[in-house]
Amino acid sequence: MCWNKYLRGVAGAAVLCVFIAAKVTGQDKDIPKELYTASGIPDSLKEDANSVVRYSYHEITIKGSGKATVKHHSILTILNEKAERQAIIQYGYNRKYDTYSFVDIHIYDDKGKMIKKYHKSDMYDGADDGDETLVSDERFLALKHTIANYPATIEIEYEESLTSFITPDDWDIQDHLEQSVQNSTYKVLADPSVGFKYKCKNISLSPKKTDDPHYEVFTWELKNLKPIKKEENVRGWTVLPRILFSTSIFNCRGYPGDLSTWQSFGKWMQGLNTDVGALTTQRVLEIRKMTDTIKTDKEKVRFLYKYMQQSMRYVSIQLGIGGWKPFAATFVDDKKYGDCKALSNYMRALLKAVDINSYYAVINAGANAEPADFSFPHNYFNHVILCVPFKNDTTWLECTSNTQPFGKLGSFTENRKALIVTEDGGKLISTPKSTSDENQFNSEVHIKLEADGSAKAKVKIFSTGDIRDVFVDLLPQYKADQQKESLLRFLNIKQPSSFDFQLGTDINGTKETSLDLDYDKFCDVMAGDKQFIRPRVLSWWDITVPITEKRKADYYFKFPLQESSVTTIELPTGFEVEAMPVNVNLKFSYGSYNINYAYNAAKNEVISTAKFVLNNQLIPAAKYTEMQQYMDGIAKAQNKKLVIRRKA
Amino acid sequence: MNKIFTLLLLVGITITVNAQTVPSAQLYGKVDQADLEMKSCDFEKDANAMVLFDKGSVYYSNDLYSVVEEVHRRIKIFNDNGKKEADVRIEFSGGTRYEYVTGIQAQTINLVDGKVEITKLDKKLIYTKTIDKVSSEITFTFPNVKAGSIIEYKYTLTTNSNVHIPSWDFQDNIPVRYSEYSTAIPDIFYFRPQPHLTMPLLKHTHTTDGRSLVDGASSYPYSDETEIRAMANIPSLPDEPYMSSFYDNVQSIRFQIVSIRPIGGFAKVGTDTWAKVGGRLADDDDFGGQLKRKLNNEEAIINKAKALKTIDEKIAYVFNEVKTAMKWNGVDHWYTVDGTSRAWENKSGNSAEVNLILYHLLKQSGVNAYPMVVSTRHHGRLSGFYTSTSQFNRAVVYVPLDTTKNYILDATGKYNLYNETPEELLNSSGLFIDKQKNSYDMIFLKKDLPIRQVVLINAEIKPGGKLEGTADISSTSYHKINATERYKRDGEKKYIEYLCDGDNNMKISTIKMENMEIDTLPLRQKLAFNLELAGSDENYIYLNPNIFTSLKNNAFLSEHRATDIDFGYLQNYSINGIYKMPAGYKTDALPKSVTIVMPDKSVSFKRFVGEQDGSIVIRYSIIYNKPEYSKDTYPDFHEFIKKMHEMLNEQIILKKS
Repeated sequence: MCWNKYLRGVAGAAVLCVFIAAKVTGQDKDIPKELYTASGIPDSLKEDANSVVRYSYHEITIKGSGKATVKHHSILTILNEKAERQAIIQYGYNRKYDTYSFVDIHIYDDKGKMIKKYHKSDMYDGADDGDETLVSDERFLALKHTIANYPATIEIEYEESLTSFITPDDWDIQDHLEQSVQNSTYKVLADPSVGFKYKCKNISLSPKKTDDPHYEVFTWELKNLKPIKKEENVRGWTVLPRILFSTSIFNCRGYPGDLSTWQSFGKWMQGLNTDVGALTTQRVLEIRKMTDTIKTDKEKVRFLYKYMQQSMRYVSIQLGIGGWKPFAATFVDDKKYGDCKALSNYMRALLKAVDINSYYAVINAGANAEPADFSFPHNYFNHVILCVPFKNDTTWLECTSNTQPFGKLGSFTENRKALIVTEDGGKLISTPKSTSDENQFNSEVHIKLEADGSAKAKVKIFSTGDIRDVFVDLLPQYKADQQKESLLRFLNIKQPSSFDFQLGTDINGTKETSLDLDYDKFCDVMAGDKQFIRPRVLSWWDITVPITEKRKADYYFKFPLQESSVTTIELPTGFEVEAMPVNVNLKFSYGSYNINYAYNAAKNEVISTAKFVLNNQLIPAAKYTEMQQYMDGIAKAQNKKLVIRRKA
Repeated sequence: MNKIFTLLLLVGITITVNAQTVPSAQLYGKVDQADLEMKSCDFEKDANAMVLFDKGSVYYSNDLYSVVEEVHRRIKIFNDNGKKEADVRIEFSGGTRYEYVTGIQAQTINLVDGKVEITKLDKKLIYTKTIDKVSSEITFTFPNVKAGSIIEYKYTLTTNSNVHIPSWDFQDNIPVRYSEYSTAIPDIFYFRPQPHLTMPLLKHTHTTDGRSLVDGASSYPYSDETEIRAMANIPSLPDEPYMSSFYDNVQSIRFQIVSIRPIGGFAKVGTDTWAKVGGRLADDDDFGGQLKRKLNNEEAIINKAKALKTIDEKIAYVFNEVKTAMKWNGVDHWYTVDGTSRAWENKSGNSAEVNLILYHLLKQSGVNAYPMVVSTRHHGRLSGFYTSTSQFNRAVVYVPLDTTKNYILDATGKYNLYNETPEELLNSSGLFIDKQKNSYDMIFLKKDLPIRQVVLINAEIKPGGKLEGTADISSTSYHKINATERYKRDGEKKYIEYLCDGDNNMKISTIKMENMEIDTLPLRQKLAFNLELAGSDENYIYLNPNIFTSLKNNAFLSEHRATDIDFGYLQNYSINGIYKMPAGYKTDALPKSVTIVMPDKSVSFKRFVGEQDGSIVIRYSIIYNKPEYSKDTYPDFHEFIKKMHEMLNEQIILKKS
């Protein structure tokens, strides 16, 4: 289990810990020779594939709650350099609860001749913390084989023993896009007492059930699965075939639990949190005193959330029952830091101090991350937030951010399911989905053109929601020079001769930023009495998507948004408009774009107003081409020029 | 020394009210009021945090077997974004107990309502982790940290070796007000300090104290040579585009053991000239010992190479064989790990293995080749006076041709050319080994000829704003290497997408790559394209002739520069376009013919524009006359590059007549 920080900024592609738990086992010693040779791959599996699972046999024996052994045996052929990284073999483990008795890795050439052997002792044994996490007790074993010639075949056998888990690892039938599968078998032997269950995702595949005196035995078999083509902006969970597994009873680091329902899973978490949820009496009194003049509960929550944001600091320390048990509220209160669990639990304690009920809520974080499936209780989660259940006004709090507006979640946790831990156990409920008007980029621009082609521009930007993160989270981390450079790049601003900016007020979730730009030469081209001008200073939306014949998967933006701008272009004295760009109105299924130009003769100004709306972050594959043409249309409209000339 | 230090600590927390005038280090717990009230770093206003002082003291243990480094560091946090400084990681070689850390103390100091509040770090919250077999890490985070906090910590790092003095960086990625390094080294050990300092030292003192080493009944006198070096107001070192490396730029000092005075049976170690280093490499099992090792089935390659006529043909052939057969495993060392024979069997190895194989085959084929050790750009430029093998991280092959020409061969890059010194080795030195003649010498690795990219475009502008035509792109040297790599690695389809640069208006219908496999000729890319001139409207056609170049984005938007710009080589670009005008249109605006030159003539940009027989001819030429641009000339450079990009983006404008 890995808990992640609320990742800040637009660039926050959530680096969620992926436990590539390829846990499987070798029994079948009579593997046909042709599964080791490159020539044994049917042509249909080579097309669009960078690697082929030639053979995979994975057997997990679930002996009791949280107790299992795994045997794995697989053969993977890597066809080309694009799958080079699949020759890096990596398994997460834990010295106490998850160990590998052996790992044997054999490498074969295209003819099926063995050219190299590795064992567990050849593997790098490292602490699995990365840059983000300060401490955890997770480790990993890794081996990087350097492939000299393609195709190369890697055979892996290992045995693993687990004494703690909440759910067994999923079966990732295809680990990667552009990977085909020739033969794959997955076998589960489960003690009837554990209540084994499974659920297929992106595939329909039924197991064969066989009799055994001690176990329920399920065997899935699969042959000749074609690869899935790589496309831009696809979420892996929406296309890759997997089978999820779960048991009714589990045991995590000696703490038994019940996962047969969401309610029972929540009970387990409630158990872990019981002794860490209270503040000292003195602090409770202090906090009451801080809030006693505030009238409504909602305002109290707002006040205490701000108090928490101002006093606490996020630090990733993943210890305690495999990273499930939060630090005590008193610890956080004293040390002034915590991870997502600790801070959410602390926030809950603050609210409890003033008799406001709230729920610890576990969730799968990351932009457009997979939502928990209501029909299949399972451990989908990697993050914790807090839910405050006001009547008809459920409020959600992200406690790891010092800058998030009160009650806003953002693309990191919105629009999915959270498991809230209530008095009666767990309940799976939806987090809200933001709309385009919650993520706004609005600008007011005044450009004063001069006869010599120079110009001065004054810009005011108002940003909200996920766009605001850039201005309140990302930029303040940088030095002044880098902030300026980033603004020019993010906002597609032509390089000015001199440039000042101010990160301004941040009121009710709207961040104001102002820019002062000076240009020696603002116009694109000056010729004779004319100036050809790009009639805008900046734009947030500046993307086009590639032309694709047949889009297969849905396309994901990070969040819905809207941009609007009003640009006033003051013409130099003695100049007039020769040509104005045409007005454009574009629409597509999930948004619209329009830009209008008007000339104010009295002031000798051109005023353009533009509005862009993206109503939904998910664009269904069937609408891809429509979107591509629409985006191209916007790019074209944004490219048009204003031509001015000296009056005759 | 230890005792004195602890004694002074007992003095405890006191506050000096007067602000410091000359920066210095202070005792643990002794804090200036002014520092607590400070709102920003006075020499770097935009810093989120700063190091108030960083103090290191190195001395030997009484038995002279180990080296002890005491570190005391104090940081001021100005705002929320500086709070990440409160997460501390101390890395050390703990796996073999080669190094260990003791005596960690840490505390947070806040000013609360004018009173000093100290929060000590709970010892239970100091975590020691085993990273792997060799490295360990101590991590902790400070309690009660807020904007305005001062945090400080100290620890002692002991190294179980008496011939290694830790390096010291005076500079950091946040500004440092004061950094002091004190070394007390017995005169038994002679270290040569390698200062890498461009800023002046605030303090540099040298004192000598008599000591004695007691060994049973005997006592050996020696002296402690104590040097203290300090620096003040050191700006942060950012990561900038085209900076050579962090290592080359950081204000630092490193120490190299040169000799040990033999008392009590110590042996002399160390090297003091490059010739001696070379001699040692020649005798090293993992370097010199690998040179003559036979490789399985090497005869086939050697015989074929021998049959070739010229040296160039032999080199080209063997280089290509090794490049194809061997896959570099991504590891850089100057020495072999598995050895050349095993690497040859496995078809993969580290950079020394790959290139010593290359050396061996060339030598056996009758090529006058020498093994050479070098340092990659990332690893840092070689310092001539610091005669330590730790400066090297790769082995390559050196082939002198005549007094002025040589080849530096490196088969680790699949797309490297035999007649091009790899980019990451330029402007540093390499030490070549000629064991036979007992000759070992340093060669400066540079590229004299500029790298060239020439784009020829011949196209017709269609009414309504379409461009249709052909382009011929000729690339030498690193341009060729990069394009070939991209084409071969990603495939033609992806490569075309890359050339189109995300512009859906650009369509490339055919592309032909020529001379990819011939190292001596420039790469030619011949392509047919059509481009919708998107800005065009009813009356005007706008054409930006800056197409198929890598000159669209300006990497030098930053207004200031902390490090020199190091391109590594000279560069020439030329873009020549001939555009046939459509009937019924005439030019409305043409960019002017113009030349701009940097004040010191180190870069020039020329644009020639003409109109002839219904066609527009436009030529750009950009010449970078220097591989490096000093940060001192950055204001000029910044302005020049800005102007140049403006001019590169000026359009040709046609109007319907």
